[in-house]
Amino acid sequence: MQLPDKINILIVDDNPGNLFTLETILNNAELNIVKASSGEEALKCVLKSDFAVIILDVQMPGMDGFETAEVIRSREKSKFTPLIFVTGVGQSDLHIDKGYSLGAIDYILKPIKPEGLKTKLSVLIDLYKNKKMLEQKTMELERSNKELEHFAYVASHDLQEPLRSVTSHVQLLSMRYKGKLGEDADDFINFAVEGTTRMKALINDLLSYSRIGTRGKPFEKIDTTSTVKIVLDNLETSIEKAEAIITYDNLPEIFADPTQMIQLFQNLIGNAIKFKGENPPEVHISAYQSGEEWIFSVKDNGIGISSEFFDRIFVIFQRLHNIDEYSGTGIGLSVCKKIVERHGGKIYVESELEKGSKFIFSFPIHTLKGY
Amino acid sequence: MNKTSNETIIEILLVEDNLSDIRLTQEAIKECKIENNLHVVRDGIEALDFLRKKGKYANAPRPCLILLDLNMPRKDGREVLAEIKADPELKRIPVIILTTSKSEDDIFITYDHCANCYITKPNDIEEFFKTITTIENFWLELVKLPFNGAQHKNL
Repeated sequence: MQLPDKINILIVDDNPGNLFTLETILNNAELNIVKASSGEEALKCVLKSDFAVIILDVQMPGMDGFETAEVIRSREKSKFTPLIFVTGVGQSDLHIDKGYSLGAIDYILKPIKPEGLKTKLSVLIDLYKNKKMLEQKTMELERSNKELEHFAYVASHDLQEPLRSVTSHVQLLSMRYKGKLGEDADDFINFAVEGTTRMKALINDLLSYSRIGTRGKPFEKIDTTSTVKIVLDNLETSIEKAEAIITYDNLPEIFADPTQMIQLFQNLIGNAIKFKGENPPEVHISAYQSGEEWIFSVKDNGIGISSEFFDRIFVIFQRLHNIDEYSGTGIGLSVCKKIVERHGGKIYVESELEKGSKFIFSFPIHTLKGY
Repeated sequence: MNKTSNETIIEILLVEDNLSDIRLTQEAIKECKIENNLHVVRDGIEALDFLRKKGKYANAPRPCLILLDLNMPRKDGREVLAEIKADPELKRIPVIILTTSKSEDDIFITYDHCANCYITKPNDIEEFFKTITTIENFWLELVKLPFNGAQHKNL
């Protein structure tokens, strides 16, 4: 959407002489003045185009200025268009009040004082221009956001194909020629195989990350206790292996994307187990209501995180350890952040090195009321 | 067991546009115990020309198994499958869908059009080789096919 070359102003009066006077006063290269000689005609114009200001005569045969204003206000497109009423002298305050209650932002009296009207109009026109500019910027932002998400999706999707070809053939090389081309060749091939494996993981993660925004499901009422139970089931093997003790309070019902809630808890609980300290992991999940929000937390007794990294851990593909210390691409917490934000909440961490971490995230309760 | 399959050369048609996948399939099929001829065409139009012995494929043998990719230029695998299964001359040839697609829609559509089976290409090369060997064991050894290429030519 671009700013129109000219700004539309609608003037409505049944008297051609008054219309002519108004037009002469307002005439200005920047403006496109549209004239209507009745309320009905004015409504037709409002349906067709967007106006910065509408100047309406109150006394008209047929539909008068007030009735016209009422209809204009009732339409989505012209709900917020500023209205100025023009009226003869000697009207009662009651009359003027009615105009304001119908959404008039000003009243001018006949005979019209040109300078006064021009000044008022220029303020309204500036407002209109700013509003249009803001609308345009917002639209551009929304579009570029969508485009970025789509780009990430397409890029990761289309990168899979050539990567598959590289992976397969490097694996084939390794299968057929391992130990036949000398130690160096074995090393080189191994690095290539590891590289492709890692790249595959990164691309898969990028794809699932971009899917949070583009392929999310509608929110539904879910019981987060059941969500946590599902997650504990999914993580059974690693829980047993780490001898982890996972406890949880009574958790609330919320409105959310059920799959993404599983993903969220699974990443957080999974991390708590993965980054365990010397003792077996102890993880506790709780929730409490604070004002208009549910505050959830996942607390562990793991290796903890130094405070300088509190922001960085939520950025995609950021890792704090070498790949041979802890596996993974560094996607988990960025996925958590994106999921929480999609639901209108916030996520952050409290942690101390070697003592453990507590991941805290909020879910607005109003989402619940909204459904 | 189909005894004749051990004595005659099995003709297989691979319909696949991706050169890398063609080569991998060729390599995997090389390791098969059963002697075979793997014919390769690169899109759906060529595939149907091959099967109907049109143009440069006038002397093409009748394959006893078709490995069909889904996403291809000009005419895709879904269309080829539908045409094969609607053609009385061709519909008995088993068609194995061998694709990277995991889409449920593709699985439904191809079985609706009487695909004989649907296989998603494994990403891992060893898995891929195993898959080809499994296809060989099942389709060329275990099952009884309505004919094989050599027999048909003799008719």
